[in-house]
Parts: sequence; C-alpha cells; structure tokens
Amino acid sequence: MHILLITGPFPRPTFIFRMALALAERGHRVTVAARNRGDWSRFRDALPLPPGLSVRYLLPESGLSDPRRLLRLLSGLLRYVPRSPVRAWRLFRGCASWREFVRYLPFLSFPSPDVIQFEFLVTATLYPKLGDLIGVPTVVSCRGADLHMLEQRPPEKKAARIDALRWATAVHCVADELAGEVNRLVGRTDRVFVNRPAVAAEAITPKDNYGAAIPKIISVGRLEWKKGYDYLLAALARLKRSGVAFQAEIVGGGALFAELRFSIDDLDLASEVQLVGRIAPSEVLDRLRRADLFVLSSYEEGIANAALEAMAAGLLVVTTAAGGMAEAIRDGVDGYVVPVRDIPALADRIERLLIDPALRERMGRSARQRCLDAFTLDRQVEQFELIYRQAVEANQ
Amino acid sequence: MNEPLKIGVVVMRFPVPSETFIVTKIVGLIDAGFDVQIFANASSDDWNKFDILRDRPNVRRRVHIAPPFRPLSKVLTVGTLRLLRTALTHPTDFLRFVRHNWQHRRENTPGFLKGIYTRLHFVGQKLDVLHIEFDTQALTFVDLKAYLKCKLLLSSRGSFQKTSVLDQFPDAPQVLYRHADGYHFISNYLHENARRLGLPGSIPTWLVEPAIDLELFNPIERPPRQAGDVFRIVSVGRLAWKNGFEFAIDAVGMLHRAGVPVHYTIVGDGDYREAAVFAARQWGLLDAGIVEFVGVVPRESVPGYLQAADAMLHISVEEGFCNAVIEAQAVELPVVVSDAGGLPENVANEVTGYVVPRRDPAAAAEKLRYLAENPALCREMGRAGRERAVTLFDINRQVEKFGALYRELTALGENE
Repeated sequence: MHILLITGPFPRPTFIFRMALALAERGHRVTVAARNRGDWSRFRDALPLPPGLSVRYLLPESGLSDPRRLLRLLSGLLRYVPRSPVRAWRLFRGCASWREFVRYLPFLSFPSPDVIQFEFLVTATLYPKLGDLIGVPTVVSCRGADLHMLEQRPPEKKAARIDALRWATAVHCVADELAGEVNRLVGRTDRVFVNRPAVAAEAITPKDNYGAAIPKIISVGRLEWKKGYDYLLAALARLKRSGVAFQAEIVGGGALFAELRFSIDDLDLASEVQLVGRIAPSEVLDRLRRADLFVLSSYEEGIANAALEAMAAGLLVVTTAAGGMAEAIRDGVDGYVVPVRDIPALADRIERLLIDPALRERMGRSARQRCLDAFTLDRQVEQFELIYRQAVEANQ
Repeated sequence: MNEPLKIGVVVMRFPVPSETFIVTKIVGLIDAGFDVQIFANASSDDWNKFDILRDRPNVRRRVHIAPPFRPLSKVLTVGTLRLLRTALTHPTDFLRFVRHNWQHRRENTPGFLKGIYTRLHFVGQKLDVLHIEFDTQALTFVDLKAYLKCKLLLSSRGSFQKTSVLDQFPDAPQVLYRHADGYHFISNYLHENARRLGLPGSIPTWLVEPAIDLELFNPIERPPRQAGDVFRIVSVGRLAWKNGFEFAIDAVGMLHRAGVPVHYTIVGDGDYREAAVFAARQWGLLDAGIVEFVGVVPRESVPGYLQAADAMLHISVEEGFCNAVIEAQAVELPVVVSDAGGLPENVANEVTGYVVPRRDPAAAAEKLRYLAENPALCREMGRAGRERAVTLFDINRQVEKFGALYRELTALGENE
C-alpha cells in the first residue's frame, strides 16, 4: 500500500516518526508530507531511512519575511508548477487565496497514494479538498486535545474541525473515550476506529529494584496546564505535611516552568521535588528505571505515551481518569486511576504506594506485562493496515 | 529647597487599566505638587479609559516613550530620526549617555548599542528619584541611576521567583540590590520574600499598600438575601496562572455538587482562560450556566458586578497584594481568599472574610457554604470590610505615604 502521512513538524513528535518507520518496514510505501521542518539531530541513528519511506516538506505559507522561507516557497513554485501546469492552473482558479493554492500545489506532483492519513485533526482542517482533488480516501487521527478542547475553540475553528470529522473517509481515535467524543460531537460511529498508541516494550529493559528506602515519584510531560502539575504539587505538599518521605522529579519543558519552580519553593518542597527540564529520550528512560512510581495528574489526555513508556520500564502508574487513561491503566492492577482534579484522592493513592514496596513491585511488573500484551507496535501497525484497507474499500 | 522633587516613574506602558493604582498614585502626587515624569517602553491607547486623565491633559506631556523597537522598518525610520534629534538637541547629554552606556555595557542587560537606543527617552532628564515600579522588569534600567545622578527606588509588586527572569539571569535580585537606594514593598510578604532572596539590611525599605477608589467602589442598598437563595460568587482578576482560577472553579463545583444553589461570575481575561474554561466545562458548570465568564469589562462597570454578588472568591496560588479583594470589601462583600503571598494581609480573617490554605478548593468551598447559609454573617462581614477599606486603603493616605517616602529617600546621605 502507498500511504501519504500528512503531519505538522517531522520527525518530531517521535511517535509519528516511529509509526512511519514501522509501516515502511512492513513493506508499505510511506510518503510523509510535513508542514514544518523538524529537528533531525536526535534521529540521526535512524538514518538512512528505509527505501519505502520518503519525507517531503510542504511549502511555507507564512513567515515569508524570513528570506529562507521565501526562497523555499519560490523554489517550490518553480519546481511544482512546470510539472503539471494545466492542473496547477485549474487548482489556482479553484482556490480562494494564494495560500490555499500553495497549500495544495505540491500534492499534484506527488505520486498518487492509496490512502491519506492526517496525523492530527487540526492538520486535516487545512486540507478539506485534498481527498477529492487527488481522488484518495482520507483517515483523520484524533489524539485528545483536538476533541476535548473542540467546544471551546472560536466558532470558525470549531466548525472546520467538525467538518473534518464528517468528511474523513475514516476516523482514527487513540482511545474508546475519544471515539465516544466523536459520536457525541458529530453523531458518527461509521468507520470510527480505535487504535491505541504503542510502546516498544521489548526494546526497553525494565527496572528490577523495587525496594527503594525513599521512593522516587516521577512525572514526564510538557509543563502546561493540561498536565495538572499544580494539583500534583498540592498532593505532594499534603504528603510532606503528613510526614511521608519521598523524592519526586518532574521531567519536561514548557510554558509553566517558572510558575512550577515558584510553586515548589512556595510549598516548601524544594528538598523533595526537582524540576528537571527537558532532556533526551534516552535519559528519560534512565530516570524512569530509577524511579519508583509514575504519576500523571492531567485533566486532559488521549492516552499519554509517557505513561506507556513508564509502564514498559516496569513502573506502575497513578493516573487521573482524563481522556483514555483508564483504558491503559487498570485501577488497582497496573497502578491507580483517580478522578480528575481530586487532590485528596491523588495524595491518598500516592501515599499507599510510597509505604508499600511489595505493592509497587506487583503493580510495576503487571504494568510492564500489560504493555507487552496490549500496546505492542505490531498490534498498532496491523490495526492501521486494517483501517487503511477499510478506508480504501469504502472509497470504491 | 522649594523646588519640587523630580520623580521619574518607570513603567512598561502608561496608562494601563490593569495598573490603575499607578495612574491614581501618579495623579495624586502631581496634584500634591511633585514633578512626576513617566518613562514608558511603549505607548498606550487607553487614555480615554481614565476620567482622572481626561481632566488633566498636561499629564500627557509628562510621559516619555522609548523609541519603537519593532518592526525593523519603524526602527530605521521613526527610531533613527529620534536618535538624530536627541543627539542634536542635547549634544552634551547625548555624548555623556553614549559614554555611560559604553562604561556599563557589561553590567546592564541591553548592552551598549541597544542600551543607547532603547533608553533614549532618558537623555537630558534631571531627576531626584528614579522609581522603577516593577522590580522584576528593572534589570534593564538600574544602571541609569549613575547617568541620571539620582536615587534609585525599586518597587516589589510580585514575587521574583515566579518570573522567567531568573532563568536568564539567576543573580538578577543581587544586581538590583547592589544598585537600589531604597526598596518599596506593597506587602510584608514581598518584603520577607526579598529578604529570602538576599536583600541586605542596609537598604532602607518602605511598606506602602496600593490604594483603591473608595468612591467608585461603593456599597448599594439591596434587599437582604435569604438563606436558600442563589449564592452569587464573583471573582475579578486577570485569568492568569497565579490567580488560581482552576481551584476557584473546583470550589464552586464542589458547592454545586453538594446541592448549594450557586452562581459564579468571573470578570477578567488572560492567557489562562483556556484552562479556566476547560475546568468549568469539566465540572459541567459552563453548560449549566453556573459559571459565567464575562471577560474584560470597563473599569467603571466593575463595581456593578461586585454589587450584584454575595461574596468574592480569590484563592490565588501567588499574590503580592490584591486590589480586587480590597475593592470587594469596599463594596461590603465578604471575601474568601487563600493564604498565598500577601493575601492574608488583605483580609481580616473571620472579620471581613476568610483565609483558607492555598491549593485547597475543599476548604474554600466549606467557607463559601457557611457564608451562603448565613446571610446575616455576610452582611456583618461586609460592613466590617467597608470600614477596613476606608481606614486603610484611602488614596490620600497612599499619596501622603509616597510623598514622605520620596522625601526621606532624597534626604538620605545628604548630611554626609
């Protein structure tokens, strides 16, 4: 099959890179069309790309005061227009603005795929006509915030997202909960598929020492409001006040760095909680293995890849019930699931685990097994193949 | 001796509605005979939002604005002309300014050329006091004290630790403390906080709380609320992280879940709106019409929102000092605040309202519920609040305090 993946930046985020690679390795032809040039420095060891995988960058539509971007646009026009001048002219006449023309133009020259996959709902809203333009079925991925925040977007953005959920040949959701949201928002259940994220658990060596005297709590994620770090810190402050010993580290960068640093100091947690900042993926893995419990205090999520990675490293997860998290973590088995925005509940589950190393070990091993059973890359790729085939059949 | 003191006040913009306390203070000082000059980084479009400025057209002439910094086209045209004009009209001052910037190019944050350009509006000024209203933005100005040959006063209006300044310049507070001749705090909390950051005891400090407009924020006669009527809660403030709106919405959500008839109005807007709206939606409070986001309203409409409410909720996670809480007390509202930063200083606990632990929405919900069930207590606390506001936060009192501060500061070291 020839799959055209349309995404924002590339190669980051990592899960999209991994997906493209896995599809190519299974013998599919994969063309990635990315709207932004990402940072390749952390992906050097994956080079050269397998023969089935090619990456093309789309043309810039904004920021043209930057001469490099302007040059990329001009050279793109010179490259694409002469290849199919008649179709380009027709496209130009059919477009409402030059931006729209520039957005669609490269696709006229790409080899025709069997299926288009939009990696994000927001990306799909930019290309409502693409499926018809090149006569190919479309699959749109919903990953969490795109649906959960939809109703509070400005009206025109909300409408464009709703439209995309309707015109997509198939909708891919990373959790049952999101499929439920699609149904609630647009009343669609037809060709709405759930394919949960995956983690390469077999490639990760799990931790084997569960007996830390002072257990270490770890949380990994972008420092933004959705992750609920203010609630986590409130819970940790309660634990400290009640005399429980622990260490904690928060890994990730983001808009709330200074605010969280202030909070840690303000809540007298400076000797317990470390704000690590953004670090390389391999170092994240090391820190996961050295930690004793993973906490996800989010109130908005799809299924957090960071939590899956922690589980693969043999770490139990205390999570809120945000989005599809309860589909990944079985309450009382692989960790605990608490209601969103519930500081006492979060503090209570963390405390239970802090004082019980045997429980941490049992849940940690169970979490790892859950990844090996239910969140493998093979399963994910096979599911995608199924979704693509159904989209192609539906289009015929 | 009879020359009025020349005070240079440094702000980012002037006038700004969210910094009304600075406008009222400056107008009060001018009326009291001080020669106040205002130095702003950018111009403001909000002049007609202030009645007190409309009556005093000459304030505009006291505002000196920095040359435009972007876009580049403006720097090359307007900016270059400003540079030439300043160099030609004040040749000796300008040369001295260039020399100053060269000498201080390493210790001030803009550096040599940027230092000249971005601070051009100070050339040729003669001041007794350079007063930087927000110390967290002071790093780019403190060296000017040497050029202007004046005393340097810094105001601390918010915690340094929560700003990103420290990421870039970890020793920023130490630089400020090295240059400052005096430090003004708006709350004891901020004073203690500065001590924690290393403010030396040798720098004189003053505590002057902001004042509020007691005429604008006035209680109205209303039919008494009965226990069981909808309890109307209000918050006024920027939808910013520090104001803790998610916890406030949690508290209201808990009240609603407990069956208390409640309505919550949030006046203000900001970059944390997305998070606050999400919280309200997640609790099901937005669709039910229980939480209402009214956005930014003109200043003169704020008292109306307070007068229509039964209590104010303000459970910040960080706060230097909160004018909105004082204004609510002036309108005879009982207030429920958190113990973050300077907030406990803004309320007489159990007299004009309640102070609850920060990041504890359940505790706030409990106090709100108690107030909802005791209308007589609300009235009593409201009256005590008005009295407190009138005694402590009067504008004339504030202007007097600042006048005294400036005089004391300029007198420092004169006997040596």
